[in-house]
Amino acid sequence: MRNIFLVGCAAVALALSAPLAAQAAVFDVKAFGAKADGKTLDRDAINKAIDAAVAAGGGTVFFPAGTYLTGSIRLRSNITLQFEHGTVIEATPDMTAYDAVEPNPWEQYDEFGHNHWHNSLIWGDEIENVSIVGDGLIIGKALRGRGAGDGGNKSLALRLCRNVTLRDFSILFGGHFGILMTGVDNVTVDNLKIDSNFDSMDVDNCRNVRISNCSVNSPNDDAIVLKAGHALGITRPTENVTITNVFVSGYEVGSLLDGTYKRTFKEANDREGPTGRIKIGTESEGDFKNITISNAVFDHCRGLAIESVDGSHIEDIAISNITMRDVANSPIFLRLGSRMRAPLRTPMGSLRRVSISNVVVYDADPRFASIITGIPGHDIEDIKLSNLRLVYRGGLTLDHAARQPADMASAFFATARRGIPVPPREPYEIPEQEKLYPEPAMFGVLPVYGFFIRHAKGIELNNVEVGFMQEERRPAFYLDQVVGADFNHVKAQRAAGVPTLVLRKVEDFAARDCTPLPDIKIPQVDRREM
Amino acid sequence: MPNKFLIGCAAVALSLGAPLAAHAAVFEVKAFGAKADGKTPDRDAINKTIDAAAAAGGGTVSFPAGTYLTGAIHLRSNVTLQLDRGAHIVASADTATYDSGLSALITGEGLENISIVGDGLISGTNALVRQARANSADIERAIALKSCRNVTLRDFSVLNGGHSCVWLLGVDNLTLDNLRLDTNRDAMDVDSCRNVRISNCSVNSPYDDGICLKASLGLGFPRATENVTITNCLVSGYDIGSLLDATYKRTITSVPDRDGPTGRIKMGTGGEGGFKNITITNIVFDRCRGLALESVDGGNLEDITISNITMRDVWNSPIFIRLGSRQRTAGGVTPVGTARRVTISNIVAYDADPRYPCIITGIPGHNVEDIKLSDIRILYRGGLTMDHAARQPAEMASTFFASPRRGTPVPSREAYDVPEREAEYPEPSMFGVLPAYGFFIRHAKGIELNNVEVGFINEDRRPAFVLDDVKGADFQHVKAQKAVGVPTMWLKKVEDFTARACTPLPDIKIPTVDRREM
Repeated sequence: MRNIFLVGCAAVALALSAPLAAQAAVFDVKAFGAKADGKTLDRDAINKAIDAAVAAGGGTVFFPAGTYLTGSIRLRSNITLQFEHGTVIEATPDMTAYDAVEPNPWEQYDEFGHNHWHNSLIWGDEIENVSIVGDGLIIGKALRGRGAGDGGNKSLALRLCRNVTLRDFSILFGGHFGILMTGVDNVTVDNLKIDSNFDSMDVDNCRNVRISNCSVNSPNDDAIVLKAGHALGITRPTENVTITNVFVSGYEVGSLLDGTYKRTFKEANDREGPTGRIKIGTESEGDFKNITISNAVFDHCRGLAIESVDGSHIEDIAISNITMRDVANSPIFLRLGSRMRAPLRTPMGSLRRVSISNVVVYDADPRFASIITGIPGHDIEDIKLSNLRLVYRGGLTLDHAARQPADMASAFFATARRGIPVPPREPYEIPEQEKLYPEPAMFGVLPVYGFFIRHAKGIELNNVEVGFMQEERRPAFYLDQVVGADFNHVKAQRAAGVPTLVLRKVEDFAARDCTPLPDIKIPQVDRREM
Repeated sequence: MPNKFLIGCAAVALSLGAPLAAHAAVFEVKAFGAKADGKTPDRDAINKTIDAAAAAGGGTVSFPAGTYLTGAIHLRSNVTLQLDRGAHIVASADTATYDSGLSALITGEGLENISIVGDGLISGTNALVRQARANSADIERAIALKSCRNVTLRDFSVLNGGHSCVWLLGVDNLTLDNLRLDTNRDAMDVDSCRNVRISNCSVNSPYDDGICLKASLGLGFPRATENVTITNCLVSGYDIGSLLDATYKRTITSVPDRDGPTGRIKMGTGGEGGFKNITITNIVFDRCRGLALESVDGGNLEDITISNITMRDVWNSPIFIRLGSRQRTAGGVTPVGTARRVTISNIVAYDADPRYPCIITGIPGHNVEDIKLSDIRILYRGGLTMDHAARQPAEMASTFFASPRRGTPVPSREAYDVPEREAEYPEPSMFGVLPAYGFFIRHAKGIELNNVEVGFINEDRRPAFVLDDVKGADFQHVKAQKAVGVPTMWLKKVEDFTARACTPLPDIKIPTVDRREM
């Protein structure tokens, strides 16, 4: 230790007047020519400092305060990028300063941004032992974001890396992704603030991931999202992930970091409300296993979404201790579908063994209830919901579910062809939409306010309470083609003359200590309202 | 680790005689004249270093190992204070070396992007007072930040931080991680703050609250404390200093408010702005008071989830939820607030003070609403009878909180006639010795207990549950230990009560009852 220390120090001493010695432990980018004036392109100086650190066997590449205008920064193994308060890494609008898009034979299976890493502001490909730490700010406002071709696409992209720590820095306008990690194992993401225009943090095909203490604002797309797509050309799970003590929101971009938390953002690109949620999916070719999420606050954004639509087996997920306020769609959305955008995975996936407990939700969008639904022949299985209180905005009737008014039903998600209005229907005849992109709005205005459960088996609700802020004239629960539904101590607010529960093709239903339902066991029923 | 290198390197660089470049990465306080000898006042050198870092557009101000005697340290935007292992910041006893504004050792107002990190120690032992005397220059806080944003406090320890060890008013985007606070009054005050992460902290504060969320009118207007997550923390009421020296001494039994050691997690007392969207999990309480959620100044306390908590050696109610009408700063003019939509689950409490069961109570006309308690086991010390609740013995009933006039004995009373004390300072002991050992629930609506078990270490001859003016109480699979001949439950003016699969209660639904024992 002592020897290394002295060597490092001597190197820095030299660096003040002489070129840095090869064995230096700390590599100040300014010593390599970075100007940090916000005008000069500092890319080459930064990459030289990184190369010098690597040549020394690894080390810390240090960014003193200042604004570093830069194109692609190439991470390498065994280095730490260390930022300071006052360190700004700013994406240059000069699109030639970003590395060329690498070829990816699998790119037809997903959006361009998911499949390319090198055209990023900071990227690493097949490296290990890399950290980015310190209180700096990455500004990616000049990034092109969504769209194909060369030029800056995202803030930070890692492909096939391991032993990665990201800590303490902030991202403002992250481009297509604030952070995209694909096939990255042993990751710690701690105390980041991301305030971005599209997806903020994508964890795709990653194993052993710790995410804690992050604040993520992402009105136009998901905040913290686990994926298991096909960008690597192989089927690779996202597993052994823990997420705790985090905040997600859909305020105006920039208003997290500046502390104004503007709620004026009302509509994302997909024409639904602010996104900014925690989600598992959409890309779901690989499996999702052994994932825990706890102590999370959602504000002014969509609810929790868990989606297997490309053949993924999503199983063994535990989620607890969550509060949500001002929720823009279903507080809880569990979907097993058959989009099957996956070359290696044609059979159906599964979604099972999910426990969600200790959740308080207030002021949730009234149109979409909470949704748990598979597709015909493929049930969601073994879902346990305990100690939930969900308060929806209310104010709707079955007439809304029948008419599907244009200002309420999504012409983006709920129609066969985007842009055409959702046709009126018998309110309980909800289209299956088996292959459509999964989103609560895909089913239009639902005939219930609390829970819509369909194609499901082994669903347990314990100590679950649903209610509304304005009188709601739809039932609380609709169970359609459900085998084994166990309602224990469930409470539902209800308007006079409105049933609480509608069952259709349900087997093995039990209600016990529910209000206002009687204690009842129903071995089989074709249709019943209670 | 990287930072340590930097600090050491800068120091060595200086010792070699190289001038510190204007853009130097690390601003080391010794380079600016700090002696770190524990005798020379280092304040000006430290502040000069901070100014230099700020002038450079930001940076790290490093404190190598050594003892820095200092008065007020002024933070600046974009500056990190890095306290190395062995760096000891000692508050000067010379009050002239502090500011008149925010009375604190380390202060900042209207700043952004600031951090205090590193394994050092901040000590206020000989200087920071637990309560400033009137018209004095007494210094009351170790760290005071007001109207700041993007703040990280991490890894350091504070010993004896004064009236409020870490005092944060109107601070947004705040992270408190891996702090050890061992202090003489409030350890952590998070007041009118939004978007707060608290994790991995050990907080010992026998004489006042440990982690305390407030929403006072300190900013001059009400502002909610909201979007807060707290996890993986210890709160305790050991003797001061015995957290940091790891002796964890349990000798303090009484604090200035004459109740036992404090050191809890609390929302309140100041709460005009309200508390919203707050999650708390994975917390250990040891030798301190219980969890307290208080709305007494007109704010709304709502949408709170709390789980996975253990408590041992608890000095008052393990759970205390109070809606009151103190209305301190508004002179009682503003409407009474709310306390609603709180979910508490997975709690184990052992060895809790027998005088004060868990308390959930509003005031007449203002109910606590929609409280869900699940998977809870609480074992009280027990040993009391209804006679104690009637007599209010002087050695048991608080002459500080429970008596009509402080210092006078609490008058004896009919055991179930618990005074309302609507406008009084909220504290479990405000009601004197209670006539229940498990839960006292009053002026409440929509209370649910699922898989809740209460018991006692010594035989307790009071009922487990008292419900008074409650609408909608739902007991599912609730178990209560009981002494022979003592009722389990006492109901008064209760509507819509249900018990199901409870021991030793029968399955029962009671639409309305004026008074009943079971």
